[in-house]
Amino acid sequence: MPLNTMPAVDPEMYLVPDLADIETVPGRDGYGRGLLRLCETNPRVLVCDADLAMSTRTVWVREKYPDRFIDFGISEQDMVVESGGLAKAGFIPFVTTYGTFVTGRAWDHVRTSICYGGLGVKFGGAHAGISVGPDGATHQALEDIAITRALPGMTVIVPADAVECEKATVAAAEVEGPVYVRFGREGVPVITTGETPFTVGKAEVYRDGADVAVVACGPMVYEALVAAGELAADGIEARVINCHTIKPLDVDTLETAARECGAVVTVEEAQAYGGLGGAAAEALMERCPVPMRIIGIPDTFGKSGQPRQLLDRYGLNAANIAAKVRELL
Amino acid sequence: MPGVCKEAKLVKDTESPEKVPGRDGYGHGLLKVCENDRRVVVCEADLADSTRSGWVRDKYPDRFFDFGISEQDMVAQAGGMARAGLVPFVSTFGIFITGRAWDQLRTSICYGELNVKFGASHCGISVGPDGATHQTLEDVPLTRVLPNMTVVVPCDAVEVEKAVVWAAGHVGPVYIRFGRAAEAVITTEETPFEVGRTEVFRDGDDVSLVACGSMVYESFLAAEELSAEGVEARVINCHTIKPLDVDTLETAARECGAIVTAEEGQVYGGLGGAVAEVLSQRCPVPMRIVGVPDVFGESGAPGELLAKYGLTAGNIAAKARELL
Repeated sequence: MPLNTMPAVDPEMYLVPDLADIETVPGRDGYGRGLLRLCETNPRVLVCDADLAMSTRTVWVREKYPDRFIDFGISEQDMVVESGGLAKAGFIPFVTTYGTFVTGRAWDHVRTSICYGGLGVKFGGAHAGISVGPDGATHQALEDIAITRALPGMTVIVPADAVECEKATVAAAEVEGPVYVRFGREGVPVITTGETPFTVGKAEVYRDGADVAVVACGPMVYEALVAAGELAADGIEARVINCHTIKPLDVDTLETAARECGAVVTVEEAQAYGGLGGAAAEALMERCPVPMRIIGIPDTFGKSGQPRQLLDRYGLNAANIAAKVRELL
Repeated sequence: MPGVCKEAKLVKDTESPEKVPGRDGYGHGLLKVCENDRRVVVCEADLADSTRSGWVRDKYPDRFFDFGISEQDMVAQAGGMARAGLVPFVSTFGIFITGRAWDQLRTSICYGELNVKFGASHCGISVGPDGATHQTLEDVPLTRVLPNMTVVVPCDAVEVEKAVVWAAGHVGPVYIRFGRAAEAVITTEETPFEVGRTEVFRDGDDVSLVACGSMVYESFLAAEELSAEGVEARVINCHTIKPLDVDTLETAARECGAIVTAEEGQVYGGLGGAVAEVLSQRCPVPMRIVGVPDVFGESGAPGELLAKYGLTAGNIAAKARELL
């Protein structure tokens, strides 16, 4: 389904021209590229890793800027606390490992050693979502959005693709205080370009429509666009919103969408409790209650499988988004 | 008290109820289950006097294990005890169980659905002088997002005791949250308590006040305040955050048309979030979420802190008025 045949895609979003002919790049590659750019331009940036440099792409920094790279070994809690010290000393540390290790194993340290003091430590949460695939449940970060969002002072960003992940990584260095940037292992469709607007805290309307709003983050933004194409064929015009910043949430854009569309579907590659869907529901029930559907992992652990197989199993695809939309109309 | 449901069998005197810390209910509950169930053991991480697990240490020393300040070890080893057929109650301050040991809760306990119970003391802002580091405000979002976990936030010390007894008989991980400070006891032995079922404590059709923990009593006081203005609030004790009693909440939304939630935790991702997620999909009505507004706590007297963060009857009533 070519994007440019969907008449309502906003040309000012400068998305790639054709959904059918699309490049797939892992989010982690965008993170690695972002780190390289930062290391080149900002002498305060340091990169910390916990024995997963190859997987998280921090290895690119290790090879090019070896003196800017610190490998803590499998010591996530130490890494987080020490990065707090680095931040106090004027550095901007990018603390990198799998999402479930940085947010889960070291949650207490992220809270008490970083967020409580408002320290400017940036967290790169790799291998997030069910699409991690064969590594299975233990390694699939599904709860990270919920448990970082509950932290006062934390900014939480879930970029839609590798290009946006690079932008988010670069932007994180400028955001005051701690930032969590979440991305995946697998190649996912790249829908944004260098020109696509990206501002932390601002959700972008990629496609206009007034029948229903589909609010997505991460690779689910692509699925939402595909779903919108499918729905348009049935005469249903869906607004597609890339809600890459979960916290602080762009409540105004969501409220406008609820008011104008009267129905909202959220979709994320994470637990259906407490994540993007929860954040949107909390905000909209207070501001403009409309019927919603929350798509995510239905409160179960993941399992081992091929990424696509797992995404389909848990309904994280365009077809399920379209089905949930139809329930609301 | 007008409008109070008779079936709730609450205390007669809600004006000046007795005050007992939730942790005392935990200690009483542990003594009861130790007496009645030989499988029960109690684990602690150097806070036995504070959490009241010390009562078990004194009476049943061979059932008590102090792991020292090693919460992560304690949780993982409790998983082993459960595998061996014991029913461990893992006790410490809520922030240390859910925060320091979150990964162990997830991967060592919940993933295998092991039969471990967590007694989380010193929860909420009312911990008081110990300040932000010790005030557990994020534990409900942290535990609620864990598959297979049951999350219970009893409304007073009597209900904490019931929750402990229930947890010992239930197979699977259970998180029970309670506080340090003395709080109003409004329930009695006869008050119905079933995990997964919320109880309507007061009838009313103008607005529903859905609360857990110490905020149930505050909601009661708010309902009285509102009643004096002719507004009849339904008060719901939503002690089980997970699994949520969706039907009772949906009925409340349908019949009252407005919901205020109140909890002694962060406004993001807790009871309010759980209710918003469910009602937005079942019966969207205007809501207000009362909780700590996404900030860290601070040191102070419990009453002072509760007032500062709006965890009071006055603020609950004010939020209800916004919806009418």
